[in-house]
Amino acid sequence: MSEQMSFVYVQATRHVLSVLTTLAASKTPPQVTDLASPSLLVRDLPNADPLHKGTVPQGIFQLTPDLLNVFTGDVISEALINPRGYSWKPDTKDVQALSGSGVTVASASPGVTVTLPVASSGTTKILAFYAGADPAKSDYIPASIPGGSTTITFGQSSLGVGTYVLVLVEEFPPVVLLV
Amino acid sequence: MSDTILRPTFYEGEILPSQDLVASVDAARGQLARHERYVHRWGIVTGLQLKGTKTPDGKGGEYMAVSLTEGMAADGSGREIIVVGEVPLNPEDFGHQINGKKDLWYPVFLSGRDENAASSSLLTGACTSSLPTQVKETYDITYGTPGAEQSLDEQTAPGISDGPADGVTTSAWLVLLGFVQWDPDRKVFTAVQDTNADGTVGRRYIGVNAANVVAGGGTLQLATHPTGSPDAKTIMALEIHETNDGELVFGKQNSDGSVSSVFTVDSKGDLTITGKFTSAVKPGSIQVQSGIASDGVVLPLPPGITSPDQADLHIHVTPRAITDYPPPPQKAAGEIWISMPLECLVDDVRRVNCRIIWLKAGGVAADVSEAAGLCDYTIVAAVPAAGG
Repeated sequence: MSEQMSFVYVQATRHVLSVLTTLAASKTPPQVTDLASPSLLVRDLPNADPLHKGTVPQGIFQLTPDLLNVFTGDVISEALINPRGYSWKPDTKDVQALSGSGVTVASASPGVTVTLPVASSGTTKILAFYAGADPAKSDYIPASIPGGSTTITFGQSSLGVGTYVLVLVEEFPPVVLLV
Repeated sequence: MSDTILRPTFYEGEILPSQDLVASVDAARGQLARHERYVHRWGIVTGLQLKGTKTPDGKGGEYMAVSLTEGMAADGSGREIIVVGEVPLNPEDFGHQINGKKDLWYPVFLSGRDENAASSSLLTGACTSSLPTQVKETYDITYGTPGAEQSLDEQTAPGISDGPADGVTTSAWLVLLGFVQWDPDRKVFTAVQDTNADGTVGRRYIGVNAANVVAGGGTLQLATHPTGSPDAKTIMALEIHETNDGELVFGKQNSDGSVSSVFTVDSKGDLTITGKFTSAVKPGSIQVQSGIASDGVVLPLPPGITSPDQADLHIHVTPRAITDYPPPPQKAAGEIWISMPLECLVDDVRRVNCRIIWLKAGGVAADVSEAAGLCDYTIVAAVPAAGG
């Protein structure tokens, strides 16, 4: 019986956020409701502020299964110790290490500004999670940077000063920002 | 979007402007479009299959000649899209739209568009040269980048009172037909299939929105393909009928449309199956699952256990001592940081809470960093002897 590894990833931006292996594989691999219901806990992510390196223990987020999906395949040992350094690739049906670097996520006080190092040819999807009215799940704001552009500012009405925001930018490592 | 539906009417002696005649046509089109998009779900109605034929390229190799069979679709605005005759897909169109690479599956879309037909030189207005007297309800075949098929449900729906989209003043609504692969060196198609790379997204067919589905003749059947469809290997069907005092049957559909039942539930609740009944959950049994889990994930139940109420769950987690964890973000060259477990437990919804803490050797109180950790887990589900 071979061990299998399940990757829980965000559907819109494809970031892998958590992993799990199972020794006793069943006929059907784990579904997203098996691994993330009522929610997936996401915390201790790096600070987006380059002046305050380190993780942000106050940034605690709960992502619901409707935003997530699961891919199950062979064990990738590097992804086991660093799952958040990986993303799901739908065209090759596997997970690969995130290749992007140099994205800037900054507070717009209120709101968030995301700036890509270079313009992409296609649309870059973004999701920003924050604590909402329901303590059992995080609210979120979708955004995107059109192809050819490099920056967007969004969330001015929801992301007030003092809000911890989990920012997922497609192809770049996840970060947490204090607005 | 107008806030009320207007329908033209006429009176004796009226001088009939052309816009009232057009409005008559548009009123009927609008009504049909609203029916299509609110009573039904958009998609392929019939045909519109991508066909691939391996064709020699004259240089010792071959490529895939791809064509679209005739058929009909209804898009998300309620617009009817008709393709008459089999239409070859032009690789040049793909090359103009997409910077394609090898071994990737590119979605192929169909969208409807209005186009003024050529005006007739024999019909002229009183004061003007001739204008078109017909609108061609034509279509476009376009291509997307891999992954574009994932966001088709995010297309902007029309307003509640709007008629069908014209594909010119409004964005074209994309209907997914299938996927192709591309050779950028020879600029030809090399493969075609109905689904994307991981098989999670495929051709979308029309559906129906209904709270009640009522048959008129005592039999109601759901089937995976029309009876006798050449596209189906095996047509499966689920049927409710009033014969035999009422039954629900499931099985393969026969060529005459009847169902060869392998599963039957009658109106008294008696179940009859022709195959084996398999369950891992036997009273008094033990089911076990184990592995490795990262912080935040919910531990799955062992195989065969579908609810925590079925069994007594015994869960054990142990933090993994790993030397290869990624270093903390603030680690500078030459510094030594040591990791140790901070917490390792499972909460009341079986969610793993497993973190490590990094401490800088020779550092001060602020030189700490918390990070997600890994744990070994074992779940033992003990099914009660009297239940399960």
